[in-house]
Amino acid sequence: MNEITLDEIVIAAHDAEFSQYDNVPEHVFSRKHNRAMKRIFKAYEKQTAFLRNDIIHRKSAVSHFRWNRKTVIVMLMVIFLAVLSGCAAIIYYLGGFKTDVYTDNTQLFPIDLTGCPQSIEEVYYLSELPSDFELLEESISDISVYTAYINIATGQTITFYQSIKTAFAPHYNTEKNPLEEISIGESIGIGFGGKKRYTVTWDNGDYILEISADLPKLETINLAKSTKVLEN
Amino acid sequence: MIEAALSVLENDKQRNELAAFYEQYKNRFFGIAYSKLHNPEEAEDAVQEAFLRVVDNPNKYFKMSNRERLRFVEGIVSHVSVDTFNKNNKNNAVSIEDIGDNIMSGTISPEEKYITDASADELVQFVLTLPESQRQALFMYVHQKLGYSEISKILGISEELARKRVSNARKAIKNFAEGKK
Repeated sequence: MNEITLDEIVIAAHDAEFSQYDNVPEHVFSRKHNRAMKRIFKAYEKQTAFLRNDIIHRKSAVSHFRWNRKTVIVMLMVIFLAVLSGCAAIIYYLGGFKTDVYTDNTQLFPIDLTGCPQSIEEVYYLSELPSDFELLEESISDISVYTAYINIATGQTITFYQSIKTAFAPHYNTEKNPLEEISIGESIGIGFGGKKRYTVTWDNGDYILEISADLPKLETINLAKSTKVLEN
Repeated sequence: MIEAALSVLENDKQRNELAAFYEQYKNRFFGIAYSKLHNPEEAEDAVQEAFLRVVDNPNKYFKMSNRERLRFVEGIVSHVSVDTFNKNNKNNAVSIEDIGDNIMSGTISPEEKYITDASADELVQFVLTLPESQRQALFMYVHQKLGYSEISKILGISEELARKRVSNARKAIKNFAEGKK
């Protein structure tokens, strides 16, 4: 007679069932899958951030404190005032970037460098470029792709920049236009600018994409949402 | 402000942990899914779906040891793959394994003991003949101590069905063990 617990049986059965996968051959995963997995991990970060913020909100209910847009704007203003008063760089996180705020500019650094390509493997393009814009300039290197378009009639320009993450650390002039967090489809990013020209920068999982356009904010964001991989 | 900053760090750490875990075992998970689906694209999708379910239920995952996390995700990948296979084959009818007998009364405990003439190997082989859906539900309930509500969310089934699968599996094992006395 043997004496065995239910737990011992189910563990042994589970391990027996899956031991055949101990030495499986290596599979080359599709790019589509790799991108999807990155999005899943990002989604985790967003979800837990939401859950944690929710907890923080509840903890703070007594003081009626809320992490809403107004609060964030006020905090940003405080940060900028502090910067204007002559402090050195202030560091905070926004839209998937680490930002170093100086008196008259902000430097951005991508946060998530996990598994990012070290050269341009896929080229992105604007699938919904307004029909009255035409190609002005194009420059491609191992680490970046720069394309500029112009509307000859109005002189408006749109620039589209794609960079590998490890080479991306630009300084933006944020003296008059502070950065704000925006959504570009499933990604988050940062945006800044005035009524006539707006700039959007985001991490799409593999690369950093940046659009700077003589267009209003919403149109620039819609243009950003239209980026697609150029199929060879 | 400090709490928010810490939560960013904590999120980042857990996200990296999850990504590293996936990197370490992705071929294994693909192998499990492929053995059931025989289609690389669907197998990749099954792995994605399994991780989506982990992401949707992160609390249990992060409380587990690395070994238990592996078992947990193996079970989900296997379940999602079988589920996909069944859906592809339009086998959506209620499975015979889910029809049933009344749910066994009494609390199921991991320490539930069987005194039997059956060897451990015979018991294991018997468990492996049970339907996959019952095995995964029983494993999550008995070994990983998930509640029926958690199992239902992770496996994408109703709470009642989760309860029924655990009960049917337990009853089958008990009958087998006692029949060998």
